[in-house]
Amino acid sequence: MRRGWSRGALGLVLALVLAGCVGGGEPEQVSTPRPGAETSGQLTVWGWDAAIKSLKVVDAGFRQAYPNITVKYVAKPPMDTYRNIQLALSAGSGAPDISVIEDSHLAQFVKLGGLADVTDLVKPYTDQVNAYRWKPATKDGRVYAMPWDSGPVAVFYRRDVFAKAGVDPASIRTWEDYYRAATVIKQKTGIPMWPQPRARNDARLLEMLLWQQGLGYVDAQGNVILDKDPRVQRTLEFMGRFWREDLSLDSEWWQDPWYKALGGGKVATIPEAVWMGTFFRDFIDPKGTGHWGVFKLPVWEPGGSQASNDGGSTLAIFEQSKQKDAAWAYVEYHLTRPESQLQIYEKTDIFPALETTYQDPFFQEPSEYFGGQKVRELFVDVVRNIPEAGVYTSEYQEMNALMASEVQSFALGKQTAQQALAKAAAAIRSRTSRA
Amino acid sequence: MARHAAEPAALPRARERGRRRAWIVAFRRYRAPYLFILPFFVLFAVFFLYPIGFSLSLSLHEWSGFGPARFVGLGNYRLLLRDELFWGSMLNATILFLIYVPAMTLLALVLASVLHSRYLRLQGLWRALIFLPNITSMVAAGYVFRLMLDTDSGLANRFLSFFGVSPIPWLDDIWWARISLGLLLVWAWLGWNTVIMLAGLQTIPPELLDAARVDGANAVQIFRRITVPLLRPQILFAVTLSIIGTYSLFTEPFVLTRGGPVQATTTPVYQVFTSTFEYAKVGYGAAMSYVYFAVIVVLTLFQFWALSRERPAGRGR
Amino acid sequence: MTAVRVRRSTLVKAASYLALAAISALMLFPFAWMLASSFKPFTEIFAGRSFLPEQPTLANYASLFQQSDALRKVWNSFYVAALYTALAVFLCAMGGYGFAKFRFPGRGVLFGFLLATMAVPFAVVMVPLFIMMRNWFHWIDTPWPLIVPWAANAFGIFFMRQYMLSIPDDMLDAARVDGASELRIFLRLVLPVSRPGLASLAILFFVLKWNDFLWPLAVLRSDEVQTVPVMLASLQGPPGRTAFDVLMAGSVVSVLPMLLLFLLLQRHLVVGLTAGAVRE
Repeated sequence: MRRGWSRGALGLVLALVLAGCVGGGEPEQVSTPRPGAETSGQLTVWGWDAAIKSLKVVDAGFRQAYPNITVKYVAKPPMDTYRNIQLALSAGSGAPDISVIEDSHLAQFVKLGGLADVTDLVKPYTDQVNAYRWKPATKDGRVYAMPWDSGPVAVFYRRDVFAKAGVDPASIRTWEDYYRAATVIKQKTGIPMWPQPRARNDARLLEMLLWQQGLGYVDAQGNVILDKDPRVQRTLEFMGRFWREDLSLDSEWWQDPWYKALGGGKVATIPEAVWMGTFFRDFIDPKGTGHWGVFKLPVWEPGGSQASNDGGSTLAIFEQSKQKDAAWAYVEYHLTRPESQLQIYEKTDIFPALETTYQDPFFQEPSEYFGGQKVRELFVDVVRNIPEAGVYTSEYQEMNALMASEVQSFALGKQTAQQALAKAAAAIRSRTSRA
Repeated sequence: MARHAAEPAALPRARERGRRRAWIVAFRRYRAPYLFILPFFVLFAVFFLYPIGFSLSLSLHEWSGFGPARFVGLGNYRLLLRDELFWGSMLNATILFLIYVPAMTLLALVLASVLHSRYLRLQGLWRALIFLPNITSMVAAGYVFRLMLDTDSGLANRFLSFFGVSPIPWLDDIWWARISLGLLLVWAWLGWNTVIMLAGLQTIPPELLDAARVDGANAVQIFRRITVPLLRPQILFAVTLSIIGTYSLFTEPFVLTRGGPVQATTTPVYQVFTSTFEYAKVGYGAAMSYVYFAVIVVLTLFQFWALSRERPAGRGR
Repeated sequence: MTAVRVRRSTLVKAASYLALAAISALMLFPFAWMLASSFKPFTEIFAGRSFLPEQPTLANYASLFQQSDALRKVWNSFYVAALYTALAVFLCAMGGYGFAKFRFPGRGVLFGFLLATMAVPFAVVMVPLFIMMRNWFHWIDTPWPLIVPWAANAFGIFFMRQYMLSIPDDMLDAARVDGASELRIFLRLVLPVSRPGLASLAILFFVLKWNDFLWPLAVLRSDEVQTVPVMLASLQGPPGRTAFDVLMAGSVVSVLPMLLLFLLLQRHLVVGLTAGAVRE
């Protein structure tokens, strides 16, 4: 494996010397291992529809830069992709060269082994990428994936609903304010404040709210804190108020009735990551220019953080790949070059984790869809402040499933928040052998 | 006796040769049936017997399916004892069984009786129609039911709204989700059960029923007093298959409810699947499957025992 | 008195037909709805306004066959089911014949063992079987894991044995006297005579294999080799959105072949089931 890299590095030095910098735009780069233009290979890239669509945005330029590299994409829903990765890793064969992997599942694969060590290759970018992104990709000081997009969270709100209820979004500074606004909006318009199903809850909003406070399933040592830190219970109880007082839209996420409700203005707000805005624009409410606005997350305490995260994905190269040069060429071109990330962002609204892109004037432009609001700027501000939190652990899937089940039970009124957290914590501790 | 006395002393070797020859003769004589039944035993040994042992070994290790396995002895089983989710799935299967099997079996009996009536026309057509759902892929059926039972826009609730019934949370409530799963299973398996009962009915001598009718018994009485008792073997057979089937459910909860809400419709096999393929905990999944195996074996043994006990030989009146 | 009885029996008859019709309608309804929905655009499926599509479209089928390459999946399903059925029916007939028409030492014990194996649930062997398929046989993404383990299965043998018990022994003995080998007797006499039973078993196996979900889900990973049920489960739409419209079209595609097969051959199936099912 190492042999391949050094060959590539040599090649690039020669290429750099001979051809000058490729793709004008940032000549001030430190000598980054950048594979030469003659690098060849037939890459297989796994991902899901939306991700692949975004990657393809810069493929034309990639083909020009590396004419000898061909790419085959295999698109499958995320769960299938992850199952296939697991199978390939454990079978010792069948893995692709590269796969898109969300942060939520990355830690599990990093722990499992089988991803290529790219520590030296990504070192130049350590400071250029959102700081909190490296954690799931790192094990024992070595890095195994390159972050792509991040999921800074804010509150999307329906301007018309707020206007009708006479609520000014700027007045919502704390979560208590948010709750009060919810009751007012319900009173004046009958519309629920946020979409949180009871029986089909996926616990992701809870995770977002916890992340905002630097909390998660575990602390920095990996011990479960759900039943230890009182703020977790406070958060869950806060959510409980919305169910009890009917301030929540009881609709399963990512199903058509939920899409319809969002598109039809039947819910006042939705706290979610930046990519939700993309979905609004693309298919949830494509004709809804001006319907939506964005404000930062309310704080829990004065001076508290207004930033959280949901989602975020990376590109990882597999140990099994026999074309790691070409694979890194792909990753390097698509993710580490600001112009590539910018192109992807401009065309498909996938928010770059690469902070050097934020300097681009594009981020200062007002967003027509959001009524002329400068949402990009807002999200840049948020992403710079996302705290570290123990949400995306190496057993995230299992923890999330266990948590979701307890949240559902709590939402249905079958147990108190304390009981829910105690049960979730106990189950997680025993199943993941943690303290 | 006299023969033995007359045999010479060199008999032991001759007897030995005779025994061996007997084996060879036997083998040659029974070669055909042994060869005929051999494929089953070979395939079973390779693909079932060995894996059963392998599973036991796996259950004593902690393994992600990748890399080295760590021996943990009974550790997985100890964890399993405290695993609420797994025992919950066992309970779910039991509850589910109680919800739909008695109703379905009774309905199958009634339907079979109706189908068996002498005066019935187009018997073949009715039989075919009732059996039809059984040939459907449960994946397809599951998705169709999911759409039909959607709380807001599903056909079921729209239909009910014509009668002024407020929308039922078919898939959003713990008990209604179980009922919905039961509905899907009844829809899918009623035909199968009906055919089994029908087969049994065809073994009841018609004179018995005629005699009862002459005595003035009406249809219901005949059904209760004669038909049902006589069909006990079939009923037990169908019910046992249903038990095993219910505990082995995977596809239906996977597609219809994803095991929810609140894991109320998850099943043991579903748990084994998630543990192995999603959480990469192969050893734990194996332990789970072993416990579940034990339960199934007990239930099946119970069926054999119950079946062998009841043997009503035309206990008419 | 006769008039009363006649009236009562007509009432009972009418009730019976009504009940049958009602149940049949309930059984059929999901199919009808599936078919109707497959021609509806996505928005209409959830609008639930009318049963029939307001704006019928073939887009779902187009998407199914173009993007999901459904034709290939149908072929895969067919290929696996047909191959399996041919092999399994043959081997089970052989095994059933062995147990039905021969007396040999250990027969009782061996048959009892065979019956007992029906109690072994799949879940127990799923994991190690999967590992064996992956590490030893390298059969992941091939049809063999779906075919080989069940090629001679207990249920099929049990079924064929029941059926073959009624084959007259003298016919077989006569052939033996004529000097025919056992294999020849099996192939030339027994199989042809058992055609109805074979047919029912074949239908049963084919349908079961066609609709098999859990195991194919585990062992068929790449797109090209997937069968139809696995395809249904992984249909994609916009992020996270279950593509119900294409799914309905896919369901129709998955059900239609079985429906046709069934309607053509259902008499065989039910007759065979009734004959072989429970003859204690």
